[in-house]
Amino acid sequence: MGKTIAHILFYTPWERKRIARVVFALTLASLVWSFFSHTLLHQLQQPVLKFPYVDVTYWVMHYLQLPQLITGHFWLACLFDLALFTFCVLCYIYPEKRWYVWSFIGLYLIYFITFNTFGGHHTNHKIGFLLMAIPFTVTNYKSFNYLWQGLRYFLLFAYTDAFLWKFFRWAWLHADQGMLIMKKNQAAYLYLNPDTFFAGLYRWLLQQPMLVNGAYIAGTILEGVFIIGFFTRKYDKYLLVFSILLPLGFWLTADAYFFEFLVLSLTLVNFHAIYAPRRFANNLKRGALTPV
Amino acid sequence: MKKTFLYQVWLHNKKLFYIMAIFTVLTVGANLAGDQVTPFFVWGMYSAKEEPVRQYSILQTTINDSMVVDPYDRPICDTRFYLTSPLAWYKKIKDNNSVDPTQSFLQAKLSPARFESLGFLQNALFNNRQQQDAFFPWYARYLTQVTTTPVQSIRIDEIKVHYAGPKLVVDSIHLFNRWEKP
Repeated sequence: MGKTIAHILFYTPWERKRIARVVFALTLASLVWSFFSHTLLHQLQQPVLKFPYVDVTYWVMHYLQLPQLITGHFWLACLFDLALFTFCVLCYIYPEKRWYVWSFIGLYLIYFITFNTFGGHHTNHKIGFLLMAIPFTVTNYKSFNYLWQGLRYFLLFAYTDAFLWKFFRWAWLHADQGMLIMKKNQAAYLYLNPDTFFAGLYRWLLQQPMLVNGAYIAGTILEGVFIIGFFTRKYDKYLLVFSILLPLGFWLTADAYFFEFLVLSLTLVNFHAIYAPRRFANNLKRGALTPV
Repeated sequence: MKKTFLYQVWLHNKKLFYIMAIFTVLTVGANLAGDQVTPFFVWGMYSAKEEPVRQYSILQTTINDSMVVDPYDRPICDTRFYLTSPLAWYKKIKDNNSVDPTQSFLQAKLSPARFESLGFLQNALFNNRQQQDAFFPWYARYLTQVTTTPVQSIRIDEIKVHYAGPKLVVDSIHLFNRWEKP
């Protein structure tokens, strides 16, 4: 049975296996999504312009020539993508096999860096998939639980950090901040698609500065609310809702795509509450338990 | 104190504690320095004050002199990212007199001796002229794959617009670059 020690909810090995299945199923869905987005490494068409910027991890990768080596050879890139999919599927089937998980993490790190460097921008939306597999690299179920909770803190930190950056740079007090972000990020859409429903919606929003600037401040406050999660798990279900609302807001107002980051929101879900009744019912059905 | 997460990790497994503590310290350090080093991420997006601008710039891609590429046609967002972001990066390089802006940034931040010490990394870090010249052949290949139309020529227009109330008004359109398949 799962048990709570202080603020930590401990999942059993049985629950851990099911959580792993959820994580790797979502990761696989994301990879399939990347295939249809033409952004797997064999689909990048041997890109040439890189963007390591001042990130030392990217420097090391480029110094080792890994991104250019893989994307520069079509069949090698095919092999890489095949390995990425294969290890993801193996992690789904055998989540307790640690070397499958480690292999997947290594491959996904290379994919993550290569995707960003040749995309000309260091996006953050795939970070969730980069980190979600880490708790499954340990065999000890307690260590798994601490790492899983560590990921929960990572998610809380990400939103808290976003709040603190806005707060201490006084962006929340800057006049028209929300409106100016929307104007900048939606200009191309309004130019290329002036007659769509969303263009109409944006034109309407552009006439409601109070609403748009208010949404920016509301979003900042919602990010700040995640600080509560450092002290108690009691409000996790509300934080889960906020963690879904925020990417929707980023997408609608700033044209920023952050949905893949949602995978980290799984750490706010109480899987024990989901699995325990089901397991109890299954045991009852099998006759392993006798109702009193 | 004894109920804190890290203390419980310490009691459970010292090695795990050190890994988590180092990760936490480096992440906080990266945020204080304001520089992201994967996997110590900085979450400062949209925290910079947006200054009002007179004009916004849009890059429009036309292939084979007839088909305007609309990245928003493809609801799958990463396709849009790859259609627009590398092109924007290429333009930044060209606007910087064909010098990689990262190179300019590091030259401005580091002493000449320190920058020279990065010499062995230069090919790995910066986009040289040869790579810049290979950009449009790559862009043509990627556009061919995404649009399923063989690309013979690419025209990039820079469109300057401003807002008049909620409406977008075009101020100017000028040719940024044109490429034809040899």
